[in-house]
Amino acid sequence: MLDLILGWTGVVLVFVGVFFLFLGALGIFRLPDLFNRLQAGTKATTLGVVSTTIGVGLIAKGWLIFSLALAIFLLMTNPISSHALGRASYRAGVKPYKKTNPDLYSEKIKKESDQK
Amino acid sequence: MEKIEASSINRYFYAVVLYFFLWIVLTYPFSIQEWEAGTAIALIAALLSYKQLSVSGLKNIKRIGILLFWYLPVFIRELIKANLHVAGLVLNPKMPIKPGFVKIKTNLQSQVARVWLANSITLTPGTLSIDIDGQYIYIHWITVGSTDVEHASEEIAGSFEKILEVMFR
Repeated sequence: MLDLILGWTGVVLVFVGVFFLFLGALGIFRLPDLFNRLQAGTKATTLGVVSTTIGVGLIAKGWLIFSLALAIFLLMTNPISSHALGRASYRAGVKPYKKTNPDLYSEKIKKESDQK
Repeated sequence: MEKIEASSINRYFYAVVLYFFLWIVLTYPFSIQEWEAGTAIALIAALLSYKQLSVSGLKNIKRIGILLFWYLPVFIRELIKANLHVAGLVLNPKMPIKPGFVKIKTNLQSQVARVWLANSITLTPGTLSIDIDGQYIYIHWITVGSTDVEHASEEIAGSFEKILEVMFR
């Protein structure tokens, strides 16, 4: 009985994860500029992948502890990679969407280049 | 600014505990033989690498406790909220976005705590940390609520800052 409940919980988690991964892909397609797309990409893939891995762990119980470890590593590294991408692209001159307002970060970059 | 380092022996034992736990997790079907081998390998590996692992030693175990039982529930709630927020934006035909770069101020002193805060901010609704400059974190906000530094700090970082302050005391 418990096996059955856990198995079905796993199936539900996998479905939720897949749904959010789909929304992330849709967000990357629809949103206007790199930074907005990065946001959709990061959040949706983080929850999507974590939920899918834990779901798979619940379905195949031998793998549960590995899938939890995997989820923890993903949670710790995913935001770092998107932060690095965002920072590097801003500094490399990717222009934000034209309605972006305010842009306090450009002030900082300007100050830095003035100091040089 | 950085706190004083823990003693070497303290840091060494923290590394042993952490490596041993990692070993147990990665060799999952538990058996006594695995535990014996894990102990030996953790003792040796920790000797080689405790200096690089952590400066605050066994104090980190208390932090992991706070992380699991206080930070994690808040974090998961925020992560789900963030995803529903993105879902709402993406599925709305008009796409009501109002992006902007704002900066917030943090009172956290330790560098590690600031990294955690920036990471947490990235995974909370509509925000992505772009850069950090001393006490200020620059953030891309998908639906800008407030451009005022104090106000934005409270709105974005409020709930995590309290937890991290206790965690990295």
